[in-house]
Order: sequence, then C-alpha cells, then structure tokens
Amino acid sequence: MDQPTFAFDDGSNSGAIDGAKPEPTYSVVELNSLVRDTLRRAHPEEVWVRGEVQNLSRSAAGHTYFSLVEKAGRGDRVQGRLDVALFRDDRRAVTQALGAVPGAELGNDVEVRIRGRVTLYPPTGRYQLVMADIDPVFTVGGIAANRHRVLQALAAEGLLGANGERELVAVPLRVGLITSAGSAAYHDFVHELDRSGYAWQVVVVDVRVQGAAAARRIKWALGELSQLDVDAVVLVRGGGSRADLGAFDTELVARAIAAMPVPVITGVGHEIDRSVADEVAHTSCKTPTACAQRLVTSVAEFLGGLDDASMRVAARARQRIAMATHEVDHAATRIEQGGPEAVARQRSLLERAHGRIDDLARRRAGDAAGRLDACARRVGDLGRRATLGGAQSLDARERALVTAANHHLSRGALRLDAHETVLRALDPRRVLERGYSITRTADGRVVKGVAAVGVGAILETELAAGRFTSRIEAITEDPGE
Amino acid sequence: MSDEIGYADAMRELGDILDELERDDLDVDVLAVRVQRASELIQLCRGRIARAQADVDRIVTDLESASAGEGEGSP
Repeated sequence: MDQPTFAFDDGSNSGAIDGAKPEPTYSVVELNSLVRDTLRRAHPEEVWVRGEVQNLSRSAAGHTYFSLVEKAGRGDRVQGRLDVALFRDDRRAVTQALGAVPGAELGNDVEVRIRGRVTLYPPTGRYQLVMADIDPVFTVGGIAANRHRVLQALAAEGLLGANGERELVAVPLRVGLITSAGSAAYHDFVHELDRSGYAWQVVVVDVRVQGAAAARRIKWALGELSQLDVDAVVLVRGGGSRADLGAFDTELVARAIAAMPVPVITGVGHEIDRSVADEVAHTSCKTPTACAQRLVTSVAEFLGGLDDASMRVAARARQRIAMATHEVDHAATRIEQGGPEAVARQRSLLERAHGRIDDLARRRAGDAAGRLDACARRVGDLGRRATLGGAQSLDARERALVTAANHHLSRGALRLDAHETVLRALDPRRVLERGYSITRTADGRVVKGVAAVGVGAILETELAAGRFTSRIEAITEDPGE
Repeated sequence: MSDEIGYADAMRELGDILDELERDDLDVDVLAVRVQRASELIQLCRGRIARAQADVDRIVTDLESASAGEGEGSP
C-alpha cells in the first residue's frame, strides 16, 4: 500500500451564507486533517506504547502495517486496538535495532514496545501510530514470554512430545507438504526430493505461511493432511525475518501439530531461534532443503540397510556353504580312511584272535605234552620200579624156585632113591629071581586070579630065566578066597 | 540312493556311520554296506552344496544387477 497523499483544501467555504459568519463546514478530508493536526499538536513528541502485534502485513512499496492490541488478562479478548504503520524509511532503523538483539523480531502475536507518532490517516479517518522505533529487548522478552507460556501449556497437557513419539516409517515416500506453492521453499524442497531419484508422492497444500491468517491456514492445512494417507507432513517456509515466524509460535499451530497422526517435519528457515512449532514437531530442520534431505536420508538408509542385509545374507550363505563343503570333505576323508581302517582293524582283531588261538593251542598242546611226558615219566618210573621189583621178585622167586626145585629135586632124588630102592625091591625080575613067575593072558593081562581066565585059555608065563606057554586044563579055586 | 533325505539328515546319518566305523565291534558283514551308504550320502551332500552354491551365486548376481540398475536410474 502506498503512503496516501492528498492536497489540503485552502479553506473555501461553499456553505457560507451571505451576511452572516458562516459556520465552517469541512470536507471529510479537511476534518480528518484538522483532527490529525490537533492530534499532532497534542502529542508533538513520539510516545512509547506496548501491545501484541496482529495482522502484520507488508506492502509492495516496502511499508509495514499491523495492529497493536491489548488483550484482557491471559484471554484472547481484545480490549483495545491501535493501527500501526511502519514506513519504508523508518523500517531500516527498526530492522537495525532488532538486528542488534538476537531473537528480537517484529511479528504476529509478539508483544512489542514501540515508539511512534500519533496521527490520523485522512483517507480512512482512522487514527494510527506511525512507528519510528522499537524496544528490541522488550520484544525479545515478549516473544520469549509468549513461547514460554505456550510451551508450558502444551507440556502440562502432554502435547509437547506427542508428535515426536510418532514413528517415521522407514520409507516415507508419501509426503504432505504445507507451504506456499511456487515459493522458494516449495522449489527447494521438491528439487531436493527429485534429486534423490526416489519415487516420491507429494501432496501439496498451498497456504501462505506468513501473514495474519497464517496460523489459522496452517492449522487448516494440517487438518486436511491428517485425513490423507501420508507418511509424514512437512511444514516449510522460505527465508524471512523472525517477525514472520509468528504463526509458528502460536498455540494454535502447536496444538494442530501435536494432534497430527503422522510425524511433522518443520523447516521454517530461521537459523537462530527454534519456534514453538519446532519444539512440538517430530523433527525440525533449518531449511526446506534440510527437510527433504531428512526424508531422503531415511529412504537411503533403508535401502542401504537392504543392501547391507543382502550382502550379509550372501556372505553368510557363502560362509555356510564353505563350512558345509569342509564338513562333507572331512566326512569323505574320514570315510575314505575309515573303511580301510575298519577293515585293517577287523583284520588285526582277527589276527590277534588267531594269535591267541595259536598261543592257546600251543599252550594246551604243551600242557598235554607235559602231561603226557609226566605220564610217560611216571609210567617209566612205575615201569622201572615195577621192573626192578619184578626182577627182584623174579630173582627171589628164581632163587626160591631153585631152592624149591632143588628141594624138590633133592626130595625127588631121595624119593627116587627110595623108589629105586622100592622098585628095585619090587622088580619082578628080582621076584622072579626069587622063584616067582608072572602069568599073562594072551592079550597081555597079568593073571592075578582064576576069575580072569577060563578053561582052555592060553597063558604065557614069564620066569626069571625064560618063558613058556600053557593051556588051562582045569581051574581050582582057593577056598580061602 | 534316496533323494528325499535332507542335507541335515544326510549329515547326521553320515556321522552315525563314521561313529560306527570307528567302533571295534563293527560287524564286518555290514562294513562295505556302510561305506557304500556313506559314499552315497557324501555325493548327495556335495550335490546339495553345489546346488545351493549355484542358487546363492545366481541370487546375489541378480541382486547386484538390480542394485546396479537402480543406481544407474538415479539422477
């Protein structure tokens, strides 16, 4: 908005009545100008005033306009409002003053203490303060106090870390983007995503993230995206002054972020301060590009993890195959050796058994031979002993025999002598010599009685000297017989 | 030879045969049978390993090719 200019009327009075002092009639501009001058005269010096900035906007010509409001206590009800204009020429001084104190910004919802000149803007008839200076220290305190209040309220309700607890999926390719479409922030973010080569799906909710209605628009955009199937929501804005961060320090936006079902990543483009939105969001980055890099990194890490996992799987598989090959080779070697070894072992066992059998047989044979020898020796001994005994016995017997024989012989001789004597005495020839004869039958039987012969039998009678034959004529029996 | 037997079962049976072969009370009548069976099991296991090796090589090659393809597609 350009600074309005207008020409002050020279005082011609179209309503004057001839002859009478006319009552002055002002045109609107005249009246407004009159009031403006009156105000200026009443407040020739600049005054300090404090209040909360609202509806801050900038014109193309570089002027800044906002409202300074006074609220009732801690509520949102506005009790007083003052329009403020900061013209381009004065803005440099104000910006310089703010720049001297880190964190000091002129923005919506910021409690500020400013100095200016009270005046009235004739084209609108509204009185305003033309700002010329700002108390940056007070502003910083106001910003800090506001932030502190909002953060405390969120913490009390457990909302401060709520969105941070949302899990960012490993591959957050579906992204909800809240920013001003076509802005530098938008282009930086989308370009960085495109550069990665991944298949992103970006749902853009085009909102102006600066200005008086920014907080309400951001809240609406977050609500819209919460209805969609996205993996993450990114809230970014391009570079700008700290003053433009007002929306990101509001409780409205903070609560909307805390209520989001998916992680919210902020990139509000401020290097020094963290806004309340940054504190509540899942992740806060300095710039839109950094937000995109955060998402790209997540996907890249996942894919890198996949590559790493696949390499580990391949390595482990090859390692297992090598181990299995070694096991089988080892088993094969053992089998190759084990078969012949088993045969050799069995052969050895057999040979040992054979050896034992031989030994046993030999021992048994030795034992038998020994026993046989012993038997033989015993038999020999017994034989010898028996032989010796026998011999002795034989000798004795021989001797006894001889003795007995001799005895018998002696006795026999004696008997023979006796017998000889008897025989000699009994010799028929001796008897015959003494006159006896022997009569025998024809068949040689000695006739001892008459019973053995009959009449007419031929008898042969032997005499000591010679023999004769006779025939029985008559038999006379001996009465004594 | 049975194709149904798994690698682990084959290795287990092979181990049993080895244990058996190392015992002194091994029945000589079954010695040749056991060694023959062990030989079959070794061949089976080697076949399985060779097949697994070929499969792994093919899969890894495919995987690497896929990764290389994706890399070439990146801006």
